Amino acid sequence: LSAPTPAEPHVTPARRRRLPSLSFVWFVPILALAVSLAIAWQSFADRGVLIEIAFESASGVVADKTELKYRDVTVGVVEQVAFSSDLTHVVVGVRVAKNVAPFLDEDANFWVVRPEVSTQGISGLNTVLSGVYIEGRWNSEAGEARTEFQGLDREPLADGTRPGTAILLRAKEGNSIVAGAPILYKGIKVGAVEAPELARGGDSVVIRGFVEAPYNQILTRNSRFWDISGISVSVGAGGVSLDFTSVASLVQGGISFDTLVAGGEPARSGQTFTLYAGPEEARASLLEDPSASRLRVLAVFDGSVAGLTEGAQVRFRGAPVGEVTSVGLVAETEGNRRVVRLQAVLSLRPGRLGLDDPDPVESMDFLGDLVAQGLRAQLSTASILSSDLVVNLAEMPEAAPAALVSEGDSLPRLPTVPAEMADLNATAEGVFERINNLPVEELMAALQGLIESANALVASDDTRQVPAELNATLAELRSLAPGLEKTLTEAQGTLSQTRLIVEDLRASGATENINNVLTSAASAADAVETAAGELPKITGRVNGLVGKAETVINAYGDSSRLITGALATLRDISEAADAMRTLARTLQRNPNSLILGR
Amino acid sequence: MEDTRTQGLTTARQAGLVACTRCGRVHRPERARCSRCDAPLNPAGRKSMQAVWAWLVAGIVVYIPANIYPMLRTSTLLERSESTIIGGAIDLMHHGSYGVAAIVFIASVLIPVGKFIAIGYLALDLTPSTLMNKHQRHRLYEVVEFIGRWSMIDVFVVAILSALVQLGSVAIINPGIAAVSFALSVAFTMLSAQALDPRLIWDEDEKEEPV
Repeated sequence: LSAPTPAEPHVTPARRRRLPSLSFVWFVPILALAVSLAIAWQSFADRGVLIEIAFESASGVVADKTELKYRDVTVGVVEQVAFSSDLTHVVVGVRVAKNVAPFLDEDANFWVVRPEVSTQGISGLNTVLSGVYIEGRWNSEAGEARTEFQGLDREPLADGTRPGTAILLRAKEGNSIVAGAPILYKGIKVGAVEAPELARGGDSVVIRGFVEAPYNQILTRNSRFWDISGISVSVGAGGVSLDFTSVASLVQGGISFDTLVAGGEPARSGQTFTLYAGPEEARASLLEDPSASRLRVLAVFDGSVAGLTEGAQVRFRGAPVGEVTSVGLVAETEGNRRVVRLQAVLSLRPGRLGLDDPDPVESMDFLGDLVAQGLRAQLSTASILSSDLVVNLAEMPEAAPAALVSEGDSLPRLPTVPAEMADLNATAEGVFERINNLPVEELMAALQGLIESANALVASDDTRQVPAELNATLAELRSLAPGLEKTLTEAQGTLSQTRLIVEDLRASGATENINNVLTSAASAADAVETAAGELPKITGRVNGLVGKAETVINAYGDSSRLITGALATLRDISEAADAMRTLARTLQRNPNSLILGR
Repeated sequence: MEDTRTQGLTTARQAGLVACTRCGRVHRPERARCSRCDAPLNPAGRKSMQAVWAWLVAGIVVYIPANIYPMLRTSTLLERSESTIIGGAIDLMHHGSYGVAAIVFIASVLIPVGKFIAIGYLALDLTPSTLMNKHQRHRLYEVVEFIGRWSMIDVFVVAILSALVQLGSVAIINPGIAAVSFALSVAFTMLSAQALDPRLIWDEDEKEEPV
């Protein structure tokens, strides 16, 4: 029973010894905690930066799966796909590796890589299986890091990472150029362009392009770009030639360039070039120094300026010295009348006028002096066969004095003179114009009127009545003829009776019969007289008929054979009537001439 | 106390002896090593409790990353995915494998958490004013010690998968940080359970009783 007693002192000092010092086992949880915290801290520290990229649409982008790649290396994962507060954009939250985040400054570009089939080939084929990914590109200089970005629709051309030169093309229209259209140099693709955008002023189109290294070494400030889009068909002495550069340029449009003048300084990044319509135009522009100062003046023309377009030449003694930059209408007050005139803005090159000094004030003074000496703007045709107009700076010392005036802050106004008619007449167009101006229509109208009135004459009842009347006249004449015949036979009978009587008188010689003879002769003479008395009536009727017929025939004209015949007949009738009248008169005056035969 | 079987027993401590924790032979307290199995003899005490708490805290600490970080990293040709323990169980449930999901959940979540609670309870609650008597507590201790190793099932799955599925770019499975953390957590809780000296259950009980 004494056993428990020794056990107690053994335990107590052990307790006292251990209490102040902790067991080494405690290192384990401390170590575990430290390691856990270290891991937590490390993963928190390595977690990367959450950036937000706003896309128009995020088709195929999946949270926790879609990756952000930089040079085909994954540098982040999409954490969330959400909408912007106004639902206009899809905001993709991407956790980007910490070591990359500082480089994500304002030059960083993001776009979604999707499989794409275009005229230039197939791209993004690997995304068919793996799903889309977001590609980012930024330069190797860490700038002011940002966390909010605007995503692009497609891969940008110039991003500052690939070697090459970004250029800016200025064109009048962008309808033939599509995003991705190639830039060709001697037929080799050396770059591409983005979709055309309107320039800030809205008066031209700006196309961003990128020429890759090493081809950008060809590019100098003297390079000229031109449009090779579409097909050109030209008909010449060699036949019809169809020309298009490539299928891609046919569909997407294309741009070609060439550096024709050696020794220009290399093009800077962002250099602006003018996009010309064709190689000829581009080459022609080489002769002009685009940087030369310009004199801008107004010219207001009366009448039509049809054919005067932007870019039309301004010529001085036949040599181009500038061009028309715009054509528009301007309202003016002339006295108390308000008129609308056509106004062209001319851009003149003082260098072409022989001035070496490009000082604008001095050039303007020079132009003012020329105007004072009679320089006038005048429209004239560009060539014989075209209807394009050019502005000719004509020297007319005898013109009414005028001066280069500028009203308010508008451009100085160049006095104008009307276009010379001779100038217009000298051209084919003038010829056409003259043909055009011939009173062909009036002539035709007159002819038509003539035919119509002739028709009306023929168709009118009066004209139709003429032949009927003629017929009637002839019928009347015919009906008259038997009467005449009868009269003549009667007269002949009377004469033969008379002759018989005279023969009886001569044969018998009897006196007793003379009285009878005389009485019978007297009665015969009376009969003749009555017959003769009727003759004037007949003659009058015939005369009336003839007159009537003549008027009818006169109205009908005198070229008809029928009429000629009728006239001859009538004349005969008239002569017959005259003979009858003479006979009648002779008988009346001297009735015994019947008897005496004289 | 209420257990009639223990009432008449005399413990080694009461007899002034020290029992070997490995083979159970009792020795005089002066002896440093077991005469039978050569294991070190030490009386139940505070040092044991410190080890329990230390291992338990370590187990709980590493259990946190085991649940936060991915257990498996699966890279296939098309995609790459990472799954945590709970996420994996939920995925399995979504795919209709409720049984497997339940096994994963029980083995990886319920058992470890239950062990933490059980060990913590045993280590704290050595007073007789508790819900359990000495026998129940001892049984709980036995269960905790027995079941601890089964928590390694997840770690085994990960280990086997990562060893088997290495098919180049087609499919690769790699263990995540959580696998290591989880294995450590299980090991620590097992050590914690081992460090808990079951003799204390009896000793403390005895201390309460008026000697």
